[in-house]
Amino acid sequence: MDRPDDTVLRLSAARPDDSDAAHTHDHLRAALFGASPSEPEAAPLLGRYRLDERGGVGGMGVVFRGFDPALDRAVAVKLVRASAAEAELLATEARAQAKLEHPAVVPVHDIGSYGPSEVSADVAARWSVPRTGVFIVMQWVDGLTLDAWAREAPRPVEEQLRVFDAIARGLQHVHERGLVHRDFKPRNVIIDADTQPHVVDFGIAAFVATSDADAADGEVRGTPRYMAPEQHAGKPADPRSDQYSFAVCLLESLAGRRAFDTSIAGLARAKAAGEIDPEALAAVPRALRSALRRALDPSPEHRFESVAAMMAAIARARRTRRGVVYGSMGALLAAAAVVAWPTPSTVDPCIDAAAPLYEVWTPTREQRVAPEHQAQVRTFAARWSEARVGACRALLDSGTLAAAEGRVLCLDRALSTFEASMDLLESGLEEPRASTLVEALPSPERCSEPKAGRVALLLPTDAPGQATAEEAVAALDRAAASGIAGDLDTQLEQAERAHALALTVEHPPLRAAAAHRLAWALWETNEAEAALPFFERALRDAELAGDIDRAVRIQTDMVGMLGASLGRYDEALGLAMALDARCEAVADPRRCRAGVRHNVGRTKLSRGDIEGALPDLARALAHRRALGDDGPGYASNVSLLGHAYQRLNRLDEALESYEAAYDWHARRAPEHPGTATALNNLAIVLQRLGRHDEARERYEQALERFEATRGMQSRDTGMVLNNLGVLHYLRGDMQASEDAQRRAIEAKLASVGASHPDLGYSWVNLGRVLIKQGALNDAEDAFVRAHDNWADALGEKHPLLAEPALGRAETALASGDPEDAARLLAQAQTLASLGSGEDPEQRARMLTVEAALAEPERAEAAASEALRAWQAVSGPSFDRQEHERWMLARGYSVPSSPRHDRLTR
Amino acid sequence: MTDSRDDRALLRAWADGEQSAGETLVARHVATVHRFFHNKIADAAPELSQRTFLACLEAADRFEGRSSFRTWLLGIAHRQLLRYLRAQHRDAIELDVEEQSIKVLLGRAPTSPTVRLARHDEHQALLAALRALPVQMQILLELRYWEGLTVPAVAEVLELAEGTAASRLHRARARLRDMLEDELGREQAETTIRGLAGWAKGVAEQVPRKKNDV
Repeated sequence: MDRPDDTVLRLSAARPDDSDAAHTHDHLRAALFGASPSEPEAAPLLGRYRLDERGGVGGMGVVFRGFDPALDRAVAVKLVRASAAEAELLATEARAQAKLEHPAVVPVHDIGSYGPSEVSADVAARWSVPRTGVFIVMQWVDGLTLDAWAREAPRPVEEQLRVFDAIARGLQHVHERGLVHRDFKPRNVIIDADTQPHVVDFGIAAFVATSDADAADGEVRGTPRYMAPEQHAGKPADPRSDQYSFAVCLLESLAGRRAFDTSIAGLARAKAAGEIDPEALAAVPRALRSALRRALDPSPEHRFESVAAMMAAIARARRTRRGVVYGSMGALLAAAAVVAWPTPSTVDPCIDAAAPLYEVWTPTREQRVAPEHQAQVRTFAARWSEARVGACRALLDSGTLAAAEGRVLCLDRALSTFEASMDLLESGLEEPRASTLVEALPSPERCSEPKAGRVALLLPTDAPGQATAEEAVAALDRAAASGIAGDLDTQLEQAERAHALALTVEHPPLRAAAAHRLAWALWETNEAEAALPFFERALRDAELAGDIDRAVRIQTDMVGMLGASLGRYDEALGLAMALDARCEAVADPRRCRAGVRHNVGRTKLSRGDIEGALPDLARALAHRRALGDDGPGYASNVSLLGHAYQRLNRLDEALESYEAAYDWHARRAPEHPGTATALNNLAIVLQRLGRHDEARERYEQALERFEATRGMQSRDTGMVLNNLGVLHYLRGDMQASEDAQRRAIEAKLASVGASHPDLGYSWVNLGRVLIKQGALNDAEDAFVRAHDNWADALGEKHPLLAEPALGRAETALASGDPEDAARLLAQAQTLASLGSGEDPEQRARMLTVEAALAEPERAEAAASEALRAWQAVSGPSFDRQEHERWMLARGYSVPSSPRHDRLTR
Repeated sequence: MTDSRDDRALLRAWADGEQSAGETLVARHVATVHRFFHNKIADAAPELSQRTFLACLEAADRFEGRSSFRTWLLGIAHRQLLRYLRAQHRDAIELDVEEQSIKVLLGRAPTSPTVRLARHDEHQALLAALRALPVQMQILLELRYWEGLTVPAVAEVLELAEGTAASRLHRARARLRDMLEDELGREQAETTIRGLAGWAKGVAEQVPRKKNDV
């Protein structure tokens, strides 16, 4: 499935060459090695402060790392453009701040105005600072701003919450003293080497016209992305405005995306309407969502009474949820105890064991799922509930933890999968993805099977890292659900997130699962090369965790990827040999062997070793049948087997395999495009077997399904129409063939565009129909279009170009221009010789043209050679019959071929 | 003229004051560094390249040779670029290299690279598409496909986790492809198309995309 990506080829081709660097090289030679090095300039002074190094450009001015010689300490000096009146107000604010004393708050030390006499024009120009303004001196904090810190490395949820909690304490301290920050944002928080946050720039925004402010509303001060809706409206800010900004930062930090999905201009409206980006909310742990929603309420009076109250609510929600839904034995026992508390002890203590379900599934949520899936969702809920109560009873009866632990963990995983699926279903997932997802819901009953106890413990049992691990597992579930639903980008995004989180937890089983999922997601998006190191890492961690089952699954995937995607056949087959032995050690050896044989078969198919692939694919299928495996792996297996048989010209067996693939799709998801694909493959074999009526019926069904799922003019409908046009041609129905090819061209133009090489095929096929209809000018035109299309897409020297050349030779022959025909035929032969494979049909046609051009004494021999070539082409065809008629008309002998008789019976 | 010492030895010698070692080192890597800046801020490429080599000289002690010198140098170039953008970009916009293109961050259209670069109209379109991508995506693609860096090396230059770099690279490619398709209405040639039953060209069998169960 991997193919050289055209985008990458073009990108590589556009690489500027080294000669373009000549000018830069000259510059460097002069600057670095030519002229003598210039003396370092003395650092400028401002008041008593020395400005050592220019830092970033903040929201409102330029920050310097400075030095205060009087107190012998490093300071931050901020230069801000401000009027004298503003400077006065700022000084008042600074005095109020002097009262602040909190580890998370950086107060202002000193403040003053400066003018052109202090800042020379030279300095102003070099550092781009205003020549008149205010300087604000603060404690120097060495560290990263909050946004840079968050980007520096993946930060687990608990670490982020710890930092935000410390920030909240600082804000609370400030608020309790009657002050407001007014411009809280990630860049106003500096995280030091000990991960301690320090909030800077308190209250400054209120007095200084910041360049951040949207010019359209001149009164607005602050940073639009983070400010509260009342600030957008120009109303005064209070502590609840800071709470709002704080919540925006927290949400964005946890979600890794913006809280409001809009341009700066749309922000005020979105905030006033409370339109938080649902995807951002969805990316945040569920337990935090309601607190964030409340803190982001458009009306200040609906928010929490304080930042402290907000953080308390978050802490509460997290405790509750973690205790109930996840967790292993501790939670099981705790749940039983909690349930026993409000009810009389005579009541079955397991009656509420299924309580976690009701956090995920409620009748209201069910209503939001598409009606046709509601019953299946409800059934899952009922079955899960029953299984969970059963596990609780088993625990009470046996009293042994070990027996029930596997079951409970397995059910937890199933619920977690269900939760991720519900999120997708509720969001209005379209068909056929929703059907596929519902079909793939896990079976709760399987958790009661003895081997459920072997489920790897994805969650660590000790407390540190527990919360992060939960996040990682939730992301893994979302990744898996998205993958099943065919949303490969989301699968990749969530897998990446899970992997980053898992790296911070010392728990090999989780790391193995996350790396495995990431590798898989990369492979599915055609990034096989990038996937490999993650497969290797996953394997290492799986071995470390002693999880042989996963290790073997990883290696099985690697066989498929190395062989079928990366063309590293020998490595793939070597790994497969090692795996044969390992399969004996896993819980389900037969399933393991099926996977290995399957991927070995694919590898051999990719290498072109069709004979070798066949036994592997057949054995994989036999294993699957013995297992009663009816999953997508089965469908893929029979389909691959069909390809193998068809390439070996074992058409009856190919037919049987494709029929099995079709049955599977029709039974599981008749509306899924996979069904149409299976019909198309089936029709190709029927056509080759000469069963033209059946082939036609299958093509038409495929067309109908593709039109229903992919639209009237998709690439797939174009493909089926092309195939159908070919079939009509073989049957001699030229008008139907022409119609089909013209519709095919229309569909391809609308879907893939005029320059796609798909077009060339239909132009060639159309040209050949037009010859038979005597429309020779139009035929010539079609072949020229095919030539141009392929020459543009594939280059002038591509063997495919033999086709239009041969078509034009045939046209010339039909027009009574043998000289031109001979010239074009020679061209076609040269081009065809550039290809590696032999195309029997093309060869037969070339020989047919040759026979028509031959001298009379050679004509019969040439015609007979052409006929033999035609007999080597499977299936009857109009061209072959025409050639036979041509030979009979000249009185040449036409021996019949036994193979032909069998095929046309 | 040719100096057979490896990059690390040259760097050490340069740091110890041997100018010719510096000249050799610069000659070896100037094209890479220049290319790094050129399709972003063509007019400042010489200046930024200079800052990069100076910073590299200053930090020479810290080069431990764990990664290749070129990767390390590109990491410095990357930091120089961010510093430059931070100083240049208008304050109304947060510096966000993951979302914003060079044009947005500079607050002006970047000067286009010289015509000599664009040997072909298509190259010109491609360079423009690259510049319209968020800066981080642009860098990811250029490092991977122009400089041939491995994914781990790209991750090191951008100070990203490897998994993050890999998936962002994928997204960057997809985004670039979309942009090029919009512009040229062209799609890549599929290799799955296979001749079948002779002239029935384009009769394509389809392989289901599912590989196997995870």
